[in-house]
Parts: sequence; structure tokens; C-alpha cells
Amino acid sequence: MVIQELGLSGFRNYQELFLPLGEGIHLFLGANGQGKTNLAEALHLITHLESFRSRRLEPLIRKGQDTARIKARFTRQGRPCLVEIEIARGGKKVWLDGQPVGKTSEYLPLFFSLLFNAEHLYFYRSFPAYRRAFFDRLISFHDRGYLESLKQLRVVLAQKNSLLRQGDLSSLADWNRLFMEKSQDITGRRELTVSQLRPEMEKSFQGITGREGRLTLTYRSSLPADPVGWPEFLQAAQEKESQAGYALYGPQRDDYRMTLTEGGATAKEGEFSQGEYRAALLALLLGANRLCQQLGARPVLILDDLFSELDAKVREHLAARLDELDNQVFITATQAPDFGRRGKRYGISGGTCQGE
Amino acid sequence: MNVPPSLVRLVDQLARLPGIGQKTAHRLAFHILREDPAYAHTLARALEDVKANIRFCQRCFGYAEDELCPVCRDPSRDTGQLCVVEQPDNVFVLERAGVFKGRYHVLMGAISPLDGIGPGQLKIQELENRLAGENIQEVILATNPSMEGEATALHLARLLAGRGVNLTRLARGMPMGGNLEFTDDVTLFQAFSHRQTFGGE
Repeated sequence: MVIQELGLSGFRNYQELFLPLGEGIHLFLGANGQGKTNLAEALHLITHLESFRSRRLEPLIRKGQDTARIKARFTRQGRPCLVEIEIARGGKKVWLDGQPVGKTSEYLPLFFSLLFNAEHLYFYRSFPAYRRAFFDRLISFHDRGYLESLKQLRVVLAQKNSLLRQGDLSSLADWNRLFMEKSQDITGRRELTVSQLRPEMEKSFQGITGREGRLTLTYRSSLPADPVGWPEFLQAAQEKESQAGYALYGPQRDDYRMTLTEGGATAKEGEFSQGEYRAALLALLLGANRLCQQLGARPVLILDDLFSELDAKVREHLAARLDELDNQVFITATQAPDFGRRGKRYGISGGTCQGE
Repeated sequence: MNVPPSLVRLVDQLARLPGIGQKTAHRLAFHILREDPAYAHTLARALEDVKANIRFCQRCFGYAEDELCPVCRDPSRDTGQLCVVEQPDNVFVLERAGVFKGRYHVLMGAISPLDGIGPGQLKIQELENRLAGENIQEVILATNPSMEGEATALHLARLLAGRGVNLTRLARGMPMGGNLEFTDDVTLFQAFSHRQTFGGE
């Protein structure tokens, strides 16, 4: 998708803003506290319908105003669309092409953006549930069946946990069978995605850092690798699970981890430096982008405060990689290299935005 | 608001019905008011009768006015086929469609630990008794295509395996007369994963 026009009204520190956008790399440059991240937040809200910084709606609304509005015209697979979001303290409303959007779950699979920023990095690095959510969204964007299996697994899991708490295990075998059926759909799809991402990430990491190091993404399932062994495994786990009072194994406990192999030594994710982690996460985003492109989608890339904590060489490599993409890219930074013909520079200052 | 109290009472009672809001309740109340008094009388009688006369069939637990429901009493029904459903209402739907000529067995729910319903709370022992006592060749598991209905079907399949009855489950797929364009994702997904060999010999 390509955002053609963005309008903001009463959003964070923007009183009124109208920006013609379109294809290319859009660089929002300015000093700290001028509204660069606010702009990234608004762009991300269009595809995710929630802020990456705040669960509460109040902070999104400009002081002294009742509502914040985001209006975006964009093209999706060549067709023009219009999204309007109205944020009040009590809740938000969304319209797609003038029609109110009833269910968020019907809107979200239509659009996709890939975000890179400090909050995303912190959450991704710290919480397995956040990592699972990231991959779940990526996979379900391409595969609605996956989303359905996830929903069904959630129901089965709630029922199984309730059963384990109550201690009447007469229908445990039936719930376990459904659990295995759904889990097999889900773990299979996750493994496939990781195997598709792995070579792309490795290439991207080397491209960004200019290093020889091999970045490897691994999917870690809490169930045995071969589903044939699952019935026996869950049977053996029954006592432990009923003691715990909830399911101890399954896709709800799975994880995705990275390692970096260089010069014969392998570093775990926890041992990555801050700069290495940033580069690894960028490699993940570029890999995810490749996957989307192979399926004919062009997600919007939103890269907030992109160049901080990266050394000069990495910055240069990264800029070159981004220049090769045909996505619409939004970058915020205090300063940025030149992107040639694809780059459009804007100065952000005190809630205003001027094209340079 | 100065509205005659008997009208308010009727509106309030109607508004308690599922799917009926205040506005519809008003419309219904005014409609009843305008109609012939005989209609109101017939409606009131029908309401009272349904509560006074309807009970559960002793054999299949569907709705009945006597000991047995009309299906169980009908000698033309195929006694070799038994369709297992969750609720008495489900029998009503299947009867309206006229698709099934055998008999029913109502479980009175589905396995749902979250609602405190295990196999012991359902009419499963009664089902086993029927299988032992009646000459049943096929059991059709027509529980809902929800996770709870699915778990219940799996449980019954496990329980009834090896008893010499043919177990079947209702198919999942595309609605007839439907259009691919307007079919929701879940149905499409189910239809794809349960696709069947077609044509040829």
C-alpha cells in the first residue's frame, strides 16, 4: 500500500497538518521533541488502529481539544481507499471509504506496515508474548486460515485450562486431540515462515552491517518436533499439567530467538550489543518485507529514529539497502544521509512539517 | 411520560425477549392493541399452553407434549438412524428442513469445562442405553461446528467406537446457492480443508 495523503487534526502536537505523500522514501528530520515520533505514530495507527506508545487514548489528543482526527488517502493494490479515524477520550471510531468499521479484526488483515522504533525494540527484546504477536500478525496477513486456527486454539486452550483446574479429566483426551489438531496447523505455519525468513534475514544482516556474521532465526516449539509423538508426550505431561492447573506445552508457549555466528563463535540474542540488536531487528523487518513482497503486498515501512546507535558504516549500508526497496518508507531522524531521487526531505518543527 | 400502565407492562414484557429492543417492543404492543381482541386472546393462550404442555421427550429429550415427542411416536421414521444434537431447538431446525428421516437424541448441551459442563452433565448415558436397547446402525454426530461441539463429537466417537455402529459427522463446506465472492473466510477455509474428490470413476 502507498499512503498518498495524510491529514491530522488535534493529534498530539499537531493542530492541523496536511501532507501530500506518495511513493518514495520520506525523511522527517528535526530536533528532539518537535513531533517526528508523533507523525510515525499516526502513520502506524492507520494500519494497526492502536498506538505503539500508549494504550490510553487521552495522550493522543492535543491539549484543549476533544477529539483527534487522522485522515489518510492511500492506494492498495492500485485501488484508492480512504481511512478516517476519530479519537475521543471515550473511544475511537474508524471509517473505511465512508463506511463505519465495526470489527477491528475485519480491518486489520487488509493493511500491513512494518515498524521499527525504540518501543518495538524494547518489547520485542523483552517479551516472548510480543514476539509471538509480531509473527502471528505477519503470518495471518498472508493466511487467514492461520488466524482462524489461532482463534480456535484460544478457545480450546481456555477450555483445557478450565478442565485442568477443575480436575474432572474425563474429556481431557478430546480437548487434547483438538489442541493437537490446531497446534499442528499453527506450528507448521510458524516453522515454514521462519524457514522462509532465515536466508533473507541472514542476507539483510550482512548487507546492513557489512559483516560476515551469520544471523540465524530459530523457532522454538515447546512440543516435540514431530507431531507423531505429541499424543504420547501430552499423555506423559498430564500429571504435571493437572498439578499446574494449566497447559504447559503448546503454541502459546513457543518462542522465536536469534543467534549470531561469527569467527567460529555463536552469540545468543541476550549477548547482542545494542547496535547488533538494532541491526538484527532491522534484518527481521527487511526479511518480513521480502516475504510480503513475494506474495504481492508492499507494506509501508515506518522507521522511527532510525539512525541512532548505529555507526557511520552501518548507517550508510542501511541507507543503500532501503534505497533498493520499492516500498513506501517513512524515516524519522535528527539527521539522515541523502537518498537521491527516491528521497523526499521534510523539516519537522513544533508540530509543523515543511518539505525541503 | 404519561402512558397507560397496561401498555407499559406489555412493552416491558416484550422487550425482555431476545432480539427485541424497546422500539420493536412498542411496534409489537401497538400492533396487538390494534388487532381484534380474539388475537390477543389466542396469543395469550398459546403462551400459556407452551409453558403448561411442553416437556422433554422421555426417549430423545426433544420437546414433547406427551411422554414421547412427535418424531419418536411416528412409526414411519427410520429407527436405524440416530442424529445426535446439542439442544432441543436443533431438532426443530432439522425437522423444518425435512432433511432427516431417522430419530434424534438431544444431549442437552455440549462439553464445556468453562461452563462447568463435562460428559457427566450431558445425556450420554441415556444415549448408550438407547444404543444397547434399540436397533441403531448409524449415529450421526450433528453437534455444532464450534470447538465445544467438536470436543463433544470427539468424545462420543471415542466412547462409541467398536460398538458396531457406523459413526458419521455432518460435513462442513460451501453453502448451497452461495457465491464464492460473498462467502466468509472461515467457511472458505473449512470448505478447502474438507474438500472432496470429484468426478471421474
